[in-house]
Amino acid sequence: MRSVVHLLLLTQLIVLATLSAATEPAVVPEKIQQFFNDNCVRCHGSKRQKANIRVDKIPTKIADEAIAQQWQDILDVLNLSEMPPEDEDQPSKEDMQDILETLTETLREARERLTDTGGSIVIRRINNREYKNTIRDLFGIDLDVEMLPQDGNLDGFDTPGQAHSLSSLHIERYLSVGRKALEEAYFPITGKKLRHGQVARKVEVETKINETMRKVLPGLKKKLEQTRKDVANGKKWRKIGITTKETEIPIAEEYLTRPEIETGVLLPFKGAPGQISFPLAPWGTAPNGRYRMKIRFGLAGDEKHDDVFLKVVRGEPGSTSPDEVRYFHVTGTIDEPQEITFDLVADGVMSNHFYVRRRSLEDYKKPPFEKTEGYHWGYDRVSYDYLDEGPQIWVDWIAAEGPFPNEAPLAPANLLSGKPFAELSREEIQEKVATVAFHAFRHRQPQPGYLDRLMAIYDAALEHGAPKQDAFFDALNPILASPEFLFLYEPRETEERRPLDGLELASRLSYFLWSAPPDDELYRVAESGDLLKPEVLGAQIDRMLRSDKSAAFVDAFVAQWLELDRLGHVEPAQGAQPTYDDAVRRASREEVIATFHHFFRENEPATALVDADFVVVNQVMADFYDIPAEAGDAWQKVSLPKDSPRGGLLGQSAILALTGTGERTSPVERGAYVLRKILNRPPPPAPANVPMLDEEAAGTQSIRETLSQHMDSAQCSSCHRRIDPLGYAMENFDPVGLWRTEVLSSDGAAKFPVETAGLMPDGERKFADFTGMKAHLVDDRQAFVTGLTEALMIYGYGRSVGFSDRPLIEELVAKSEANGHGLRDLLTNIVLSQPFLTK
Amino acid sequence: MITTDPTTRRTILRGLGATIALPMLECMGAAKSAATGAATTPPKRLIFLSYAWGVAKADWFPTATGADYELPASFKHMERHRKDFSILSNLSNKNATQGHWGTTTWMTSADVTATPGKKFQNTVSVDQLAARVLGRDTRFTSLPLAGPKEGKNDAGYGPGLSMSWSDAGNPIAGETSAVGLFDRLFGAGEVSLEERRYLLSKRRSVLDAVMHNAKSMHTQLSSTDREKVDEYFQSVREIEVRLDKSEEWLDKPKPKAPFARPEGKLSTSEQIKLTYDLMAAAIQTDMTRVISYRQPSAGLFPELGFKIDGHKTTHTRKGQEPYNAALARDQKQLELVAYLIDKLKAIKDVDGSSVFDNSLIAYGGGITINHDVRDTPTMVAGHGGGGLNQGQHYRYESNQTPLANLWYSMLNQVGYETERFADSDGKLKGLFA
Repeated sequence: MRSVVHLLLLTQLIVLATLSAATEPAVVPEKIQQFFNDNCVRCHGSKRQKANIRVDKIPTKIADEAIAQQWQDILDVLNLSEMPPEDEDQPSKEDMQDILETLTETLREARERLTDTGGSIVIRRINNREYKNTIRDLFGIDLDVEMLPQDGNLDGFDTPGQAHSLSSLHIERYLSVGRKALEEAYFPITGKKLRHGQVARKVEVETKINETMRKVLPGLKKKLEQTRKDVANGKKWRKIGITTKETEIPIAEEYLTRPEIETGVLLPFKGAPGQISFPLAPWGTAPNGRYRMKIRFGLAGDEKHDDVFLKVVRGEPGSTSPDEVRYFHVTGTIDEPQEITFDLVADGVMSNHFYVRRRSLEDYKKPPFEKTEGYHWGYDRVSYDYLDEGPQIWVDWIAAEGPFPNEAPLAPANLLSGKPFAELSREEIQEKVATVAFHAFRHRQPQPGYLDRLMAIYDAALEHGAPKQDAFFDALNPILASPEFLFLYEPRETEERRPLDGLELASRLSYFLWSAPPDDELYRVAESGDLLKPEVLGAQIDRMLRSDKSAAFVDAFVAQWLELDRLGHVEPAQGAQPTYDDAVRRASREEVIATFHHFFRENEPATALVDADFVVVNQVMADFYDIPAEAGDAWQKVSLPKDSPRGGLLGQSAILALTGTGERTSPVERGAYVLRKILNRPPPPAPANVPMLDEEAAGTQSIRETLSQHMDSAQCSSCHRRIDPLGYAMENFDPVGLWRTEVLSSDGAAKFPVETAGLMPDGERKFADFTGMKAHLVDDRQAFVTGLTEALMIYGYGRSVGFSDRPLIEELVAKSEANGHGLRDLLTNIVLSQPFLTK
Repeated sequence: MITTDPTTRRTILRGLGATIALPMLECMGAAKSAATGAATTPPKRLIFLSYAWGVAKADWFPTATGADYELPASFKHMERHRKDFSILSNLSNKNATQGHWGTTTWMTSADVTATPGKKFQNTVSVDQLAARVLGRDTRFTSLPLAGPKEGKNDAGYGPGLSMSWSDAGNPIAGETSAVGLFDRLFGAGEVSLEERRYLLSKRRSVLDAVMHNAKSMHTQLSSTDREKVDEYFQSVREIEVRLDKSEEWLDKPKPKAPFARPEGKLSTSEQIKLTYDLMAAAIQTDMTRVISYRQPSAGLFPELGFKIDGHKTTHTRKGQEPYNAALARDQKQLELVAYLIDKLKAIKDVDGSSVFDNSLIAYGGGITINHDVRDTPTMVAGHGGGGLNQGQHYRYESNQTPLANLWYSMLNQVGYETERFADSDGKLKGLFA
């Protein structure tokens, strides 16, 4: 590894290669010109120019967008089958298919060449995620940044500079959100109490619940008697409520006789109580910050169960969309309870209210409840709990502590020490303003003229009669809306490329791997110049990837690259997927991210993302996949049985589900996904205005039969012959990724055995099933590694990759292959590449 | 009885929709004419409303043309306004090619691939041109709004932060928060004149400071980087222009809010309704005359009970579940538009006519159904100060009539002088005489 670094630096950092001349434009291949001569020129040539269109005069060298557009227009009419006209001779389907495919690809390449930026990284603004983290590291506060305008994205990523616009609304919001940050960061000055450690409590949860139940029960009995009388006296409508009360009262009575409830709460005791409600702070809203939660619990009763989970929900009371949900495998008992600990951040967006329940089917899909006479619709939920004869969890206590101060914040640390604020002189205030600007500008000294202006604001405020602290905030406020704070500033006065200095490299690196500014150590090696030494840079990359802060990178990169947000739209039909509950849906998303975490940390080969003999799972996912493993709540590497289809991304529930609707699989979406993510051959978007195949209208046909219509016309088959077979190969996975051998017709009336055999996109290599296709994908690993490399480059460089990056990409991929494809090595080499190290 | 969670509704919209006295346009006009002695002609106003994805096509476009067409199912809540709007069939943005971009070029009619060296470059949107004329005398030159982020970044809308694009073709960030809009319109509490004057000068000093920083950066940047910082300059200048305007408005306090500051999470229809309330209030107090609003309905209206992704509604046909969801969404949207029209009709303009009489509302989107970006749905309501033939279904030549003709006609109607807009080839005949 070290030698790799060294070599690279020698060839790239020190000897700066000058860029090759502007990229050559793409050329329309001879066969297309021939096709036009044969089929179009008679009407659109030198003799006739029907509709004023002449195809023989369009330049074949696509040197600018105007020429590209002329070819695009032609492609469009071909795609719409508008040309040649119906009453003219038609080219053969094969010719047409070939021409459409070639012209589409030529135009794609032409545009890539035309939009090439020559490899330089454009200055970029920190995006909203990075802004939030920057404020956290600067001031040690977790700020609600929802008011900032939404970020754009380019090629699916939120880091490229070209994706970020900056409008007046941005500046106004940076000022108002920044002001909030300052007031929160410097609370001691504003006279607010220091709030760290304000919450510190351990609650014996049974006390209040038992008390309430004992108090309410007699009244309830009385009410029942009264209602019975009313009904007997002819008031029939009062019947509502009798049945529920008749059910509830004995349950509550039984609950109160159980000995376990004197030391804890039994959940869900047929709905009495169904859950425990726990606000972080008893007085209402807890201050923003970091908290630590602890819960002690165990399985009640003598029966053994290994499929019981405690569910901890965070969300507003009554809200149906919780902010956060966690599941913990119940392994303890009442005699030997287990204790779990987890940390959380309250930031005013995330709620401070908790519910503790047992994981159950009802959380996701309520089974239809038979309404008996006398049940009111509103009682359904309670009624379902009544029926719950499942295992119970005994919860001993819940504890909360916080907020804890963040890691030593960068800016205010030395600001609040020394003299009391009120006694500071103007010079001392100025020094403090300069310090904040210095840290906010990532260790660059602010210009003297700039400081003068900030102090003028301070003076004017005092003159206006503002309190000293407000004047101080007024002076600081512009810093957090200044371009030197908002942009990763890398001056370059000539058009000549230059190597980055230590500080610039440190910022690029930390926003890449942490989505946050450098920390003290990174600044230290940056300012000493050591960071430019290959061994120091390599060591810093390792250190940064090991830090918890790298979660920001892995989460964002993986979710954006693999389009994990599409999971939000997956909604299985009622009752169709009984084991795919909320716990699995959440865990399946996390599984993909945890897998990448593991790969980066352990330097696992990228190729194992295509196929592997192991998975990274927790207990929820292991159970869902039916993999015999003791995984626990943390994510573990677990070896797979020999015949398991799970290894690699394509065996993961999240990936298999996000390409469909949850109700049905879409071989087209799955096939296109494989082309995009695994084979790095993104199919062009479906041409506009060409009607879609009506999958639903197919009735009792199998999906394969329906989609076979794609092969009937050249317009469809030119792409779909490459897309659809890859999707068929995955038809053994149902809409949520469970294995199946039969598939229903679109109307659900007929069943068909899954047919998976097909051809790879090259039209040559055959496969019989998913395993066979995966073997081919492994053979094509170079394509996958190339796609992954490009994605990492776009995210890390903060720009799209273009034509002039191709030699570099090839070099990186070759190096990766030579080094065994380690994912961390690949990442390291991207950091060490010329575009990343130069301006 | 024994559950321990209090199921209180989080959202409390205190007093939403309550009518509270705003400074009436009538009075403001009267005051102005008293000062200048000039006759009062009511100002014209433009409102643009769009949404993600397409429509339930079979129930959106009428079959018969003219005034006696049968109202399609999507428009059932619009019956009471029948004489005051027209449905326009077969308008197209001919340069649109992206079947997932419902709003990106709806108001620009741009060819986004036409700029050499750029993968994507939009052009100025129609509202921003109109605002050059209509925005001169109002506190806000224009008011671009957008629903809050939903699901995957720009699903169904396409690129953009609202439907509005600046002169340079950059996205203009839309106000996404109803609370944020409320504060911008009505500010926070009573502030004295002296205080306002000071705040104004402070804001100028703040801009001066950030500009100083931007300028010192600018000189040391490569040419491509400079473009980005230029955008910063332009944004600061925009605020400065607004401050100049505020200076003129200095002695006029912001109007009192017509209802309490909203709180909590809102359902999609509540959000839209509240935004319409605020839009009506902004017009009533003459704070702006140009509004664009990209509505939050990418994921449909969850409260209508359909649990499907918006994308599904573009791959469907009559009789299927996603189609029903699309139809329900279209009906809900138009029900809310009808509500907005009610509000505008109820506001008296300076000459005693209604604000609605002097407004034009364009409602529609860039997708029909099935990735289809031609012959897109368009509806125009309002009388725009007169001269329109409303209450009809117009069917234009399929695939041939630029949507830009509508934008061009609207610009013309409000007095913005131009020879064309994007790919327009003339006035939209029929609706505009």
